[in-house]
Amino acid sequence: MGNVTFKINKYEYTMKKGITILDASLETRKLAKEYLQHPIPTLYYLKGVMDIDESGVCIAEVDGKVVNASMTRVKEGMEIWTNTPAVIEARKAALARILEKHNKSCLYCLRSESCELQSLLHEYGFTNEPELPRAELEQLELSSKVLVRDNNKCIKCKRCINVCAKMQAVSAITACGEGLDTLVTPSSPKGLAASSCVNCGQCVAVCPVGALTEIDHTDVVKKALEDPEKYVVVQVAPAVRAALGEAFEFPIGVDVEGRIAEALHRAGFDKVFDTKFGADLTIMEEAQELIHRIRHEGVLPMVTSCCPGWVKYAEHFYPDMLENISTCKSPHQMQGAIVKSYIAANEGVKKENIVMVSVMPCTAKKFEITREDECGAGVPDVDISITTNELAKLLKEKEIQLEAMDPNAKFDDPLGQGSGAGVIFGATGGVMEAALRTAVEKLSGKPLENLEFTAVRGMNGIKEASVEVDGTTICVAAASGLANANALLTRVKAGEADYQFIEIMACPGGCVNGGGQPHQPAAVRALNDVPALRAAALYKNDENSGIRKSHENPAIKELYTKFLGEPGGERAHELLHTSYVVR
Amino acid sequence: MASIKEYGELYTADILIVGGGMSGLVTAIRAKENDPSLDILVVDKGIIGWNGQATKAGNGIRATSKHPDGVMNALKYLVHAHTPFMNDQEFLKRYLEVHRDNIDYMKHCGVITSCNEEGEATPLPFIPDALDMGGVSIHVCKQLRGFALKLGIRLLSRVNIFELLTNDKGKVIGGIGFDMDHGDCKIFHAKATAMATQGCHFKKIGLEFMGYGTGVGAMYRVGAVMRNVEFSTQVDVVFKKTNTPIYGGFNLICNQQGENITDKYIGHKEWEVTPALVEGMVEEIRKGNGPLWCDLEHPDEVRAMIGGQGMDETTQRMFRDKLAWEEHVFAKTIRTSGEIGNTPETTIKTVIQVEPIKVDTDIKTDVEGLWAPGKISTQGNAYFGWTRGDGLGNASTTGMMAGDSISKYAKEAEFDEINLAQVEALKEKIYAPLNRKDGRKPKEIFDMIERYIFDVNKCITKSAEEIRKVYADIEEMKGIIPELCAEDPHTLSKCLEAADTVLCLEMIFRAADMRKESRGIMYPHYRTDYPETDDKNWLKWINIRQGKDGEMELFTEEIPLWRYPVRPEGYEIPEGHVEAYYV
Amino acid sequence: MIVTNQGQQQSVKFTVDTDRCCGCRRCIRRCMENVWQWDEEHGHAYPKYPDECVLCLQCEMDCLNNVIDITPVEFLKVDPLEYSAGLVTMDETEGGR
Repeated sequence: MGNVTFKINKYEYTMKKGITILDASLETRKLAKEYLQHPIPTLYYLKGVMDIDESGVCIAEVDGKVVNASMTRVKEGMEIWTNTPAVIEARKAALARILEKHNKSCLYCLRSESCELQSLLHEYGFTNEPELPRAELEQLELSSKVLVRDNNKCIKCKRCINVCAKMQAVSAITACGEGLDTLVTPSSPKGLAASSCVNCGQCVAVCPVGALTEIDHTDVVKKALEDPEKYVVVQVAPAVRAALGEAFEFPIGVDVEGRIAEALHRAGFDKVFDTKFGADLTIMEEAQELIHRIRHEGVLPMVTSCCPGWVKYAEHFYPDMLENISTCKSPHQMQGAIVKSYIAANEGVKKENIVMVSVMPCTAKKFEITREDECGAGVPDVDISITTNELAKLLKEKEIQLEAMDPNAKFDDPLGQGSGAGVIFGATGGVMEAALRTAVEKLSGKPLENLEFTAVRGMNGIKEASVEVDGTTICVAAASGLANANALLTRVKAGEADYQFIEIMACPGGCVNGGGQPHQPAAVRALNDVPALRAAALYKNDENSGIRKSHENPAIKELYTKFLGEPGGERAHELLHTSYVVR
Repeated sequence: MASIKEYGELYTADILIVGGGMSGLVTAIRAKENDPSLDILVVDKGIIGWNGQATKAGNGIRATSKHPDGVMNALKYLVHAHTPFMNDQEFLKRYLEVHRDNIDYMKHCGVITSCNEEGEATPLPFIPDALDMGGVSIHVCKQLRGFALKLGIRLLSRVNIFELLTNDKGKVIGGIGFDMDHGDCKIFHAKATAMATQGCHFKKIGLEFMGYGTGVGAMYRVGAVMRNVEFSTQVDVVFKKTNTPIYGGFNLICNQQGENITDKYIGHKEWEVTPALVEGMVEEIRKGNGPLWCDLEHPDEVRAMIGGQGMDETTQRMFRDKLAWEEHVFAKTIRTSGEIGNTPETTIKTVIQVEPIKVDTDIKTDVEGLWAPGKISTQGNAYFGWTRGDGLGNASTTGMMAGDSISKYAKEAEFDEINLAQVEALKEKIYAPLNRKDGRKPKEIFDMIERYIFDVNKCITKSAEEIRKVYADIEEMKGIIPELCAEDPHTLSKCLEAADTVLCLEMIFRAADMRKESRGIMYPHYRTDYPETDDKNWLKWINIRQGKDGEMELFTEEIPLWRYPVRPEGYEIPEGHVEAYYV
Repeated sequence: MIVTNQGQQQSVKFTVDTDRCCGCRRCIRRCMENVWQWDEEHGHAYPKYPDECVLCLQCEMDCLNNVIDITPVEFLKVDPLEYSAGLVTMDETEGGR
């Protein structure tokens, strides 16, 4: 392939031929010596989602001309300058043009402080843009119960369109118009809710500004907390603990499980539970369901159902595979149902007075909780679902410093206990691994020696493995990102692959990369595998857990003994299982 | 039966570290790495990671050379360079040993340091084969914060601790203070406490000096010993237009007749602004030969070394952020005051720093359960080893030494019961100014003290007569203190800070009064009535502590030179002592 | 808003475009002297204690919306050399009593 030698800002480098100026600049940022690093600002660029940056800030000067750094390849002997007066002037002009069509209301914007436009405006010294409406486009898109689109903030990067079409194979949004007059709209003229949007929130995850956000329910939670009539219970998903710290400027990948427990106690919740428990519960039911299908020639492959983005995707695009999907509810729904029945009885609280709040890395959960068949105890299992970002906002508003909390603080019993299998749900392959730990042990009747099914770990879009149990081979696969799921299921339907069990996560990398997780700027995402770092924190948590198999969780055992009966039994079905609709 | 909760919110930890700047964070990190099971809480009046002097200072960090004779070479250099023979050479040697690892430890903690291509720390020789100088990022505290959070250390921001709690045997068992936003009382209970709060730096003008002495005051009131407080003042030569230092410019000062002051009054190059030089400058002004100016057109080797000129580009370009800050400040101040030029008018600025806590080689004070890392003990440890770059160097080295010792102690120690009567009394003392309606303002005291900074006769060229005048002022200030009133947490802190600043001021002058000789090059003690160095009578340390009756008590201690390797020429071992190196 | 302090030695003028404060509170975070406070009622940060300012200018640099402008008005009202030489007396200095 060969190398190319060139200069950036008079320092010489040798890199692989064919590299763009932008990629070369990113490479320099991996060097140890600080003055050898040459950052080039980007605004539209996001590695793997939008590789071309036409915002006008991603530029450099070569041979006296200003060129687009993301579109220009480095040639032998090239002399690149990243911060000449011409370049800086051009960047400022580009930012000014974008600003003309951007309603700047940082004080009220959910993305203030994580907004990529705001940080560029800061860097380039913009001081004369008033906080007034500059664009008067369509009113806010609020038709879905999950996402908010404010076209007056859109900077036309089209990352959302790319991710929805290419990564998620959904294409619920589209663009019309050109350049800075582009309008991003739902593909259905009746609005987002009427389109095939699955609520995965990847568009929110990639949006550089506040044009796309989740609906903010923090005030609803606050109101519930202030209402003396209400018994407010909270539960926290595994993936949240791997990322909440980032919203408080912790390094990426620090597990803040204990800190969250103390923070939520201080926030005033009546009970603070961990969705790790709900995950264990899901495994109990799902392993039972898988074993049943295997032994009694049920519909195979069985596909996981804990991802509401995937479930809605299947309802739109794979209606003939709805029978394959497990009837198990997702962990937080199961846990909510238990709270509104078992816990309500134990605590002597009326289920109508319970407000069940779940903190999720996920935007699709906001839709899931409104589904009709998610009311196991006769009332909604979960009343409010907020994202990791909303929790960060809530804690900051209450002046609760996550940094000061005790990393060894505990969640409340009994639904605060969870196994290591439960915690790895947040990573792609984690549900599969957790289920195997239980299913394999139950099928073979022997204690499992090797707990770690490393073949299903990692950030590859599609992973497969086969597990020998008692002479039978169970073939499994895990896919994350709906385009990958689509590819996998296409092969399955075509008879090209034979699996017994498939895990599907809508978000690439799994829940750790959910639409509700803290945002990292494009440069950080290019230089670090953020979902992998977060997933590593979960696997470490699992490693350090005393109990690593869902069926060994004593609180789970007690729940079945005292209340649920058998996994897959009548009461379990009533409370913990759900159904699907064709859309 | 009253409970502690009636007085304030209680925080419990194995180790309490008051002050979350560089030395506090290094102490916490080192202690936690030694024993991860320890629960460590760091408390700061600002926001940890962004507060602290390290974020507003030069970013040079010193380390002992790794040359095999580095430690002894540095020892010999420092014993002569600073305040000859006043050093606790036992402490200094131990300090210099740990000091070798400074920059490597910073790297280990995730701080960006000056380094080579491979990322190995590469300090430059400062004093050849003795002391090296490296660089750390100006965001050092943010980087240390990230590392501390990863380790599971708790960081509590916006709480100012003003007094220490003790058990009936005088052991320190915690602290009491309030939060800076709402004024709520906070109480701390710990097995071991480290005060890393800086010394007392009197009303500052300029960027580098912080600290109002409340840490010193709190330690004084629990019986800590102070030492070497007479060596508290230093002069910088500054640009008259901006009042900012001209590092290394002091040998280049001329009068209106073009005569060089150093040549006229000294006869040889000085390595610091000595009292003799100051006397010369004042004399020239008195004679009417002012204003003085600095000949930057002909810099000498002193300026090159201290002023940073002639350093290669590698060193200068090390840290983008620090340079960006310097350029911003310079541009702003120049814009306001016009060009400075190469022959700027100059005057002087006095710096008063009281950093008096006496500590041993474990950075432990004389009070059980109490450590004092960082700048709070740089006089008290009698190392007399401060050179430019040792602010950060000291924070890191004493942090490591304290962290090692405090973790060992805390592992074995127990919690002692808090005395509620003591808490009540201290809380009342702290909040007293809030209850006074009309009273005096802390600004009155601070402005009085600021006038000492204008007056070299008080601060630099002391005499018995001037000291008497200061005593009279101190009596006046002590009369104002009980009448200070406040209306919110900020002004309340100022009242408490004013009181402790007066305490530190009194310490300086009582010690200066007692020491009837002159000594020292850096932070010299100089008496116009005793201008000679008296090695026969004054190779002693002057200690200060609070007496049983609450009055300030002074006592001397002979420097055990018979145990030290570096001694003055002609030194004779006094009767009753045997020559025996501590080594 | 414009706020000035009147120090004995140094004076500083703050010009803050509070309408465009985005609430990031970086100024409060940066300031080692607690100059900045948050005005809950009006929804912006402001220099409540300008007397404490030491002109480090880091709040200005960090401000996300670039709404802070700090200008030194006076650096050196009393020349220490002249004061020490007796050319300026205490009564001619301000502040204090």
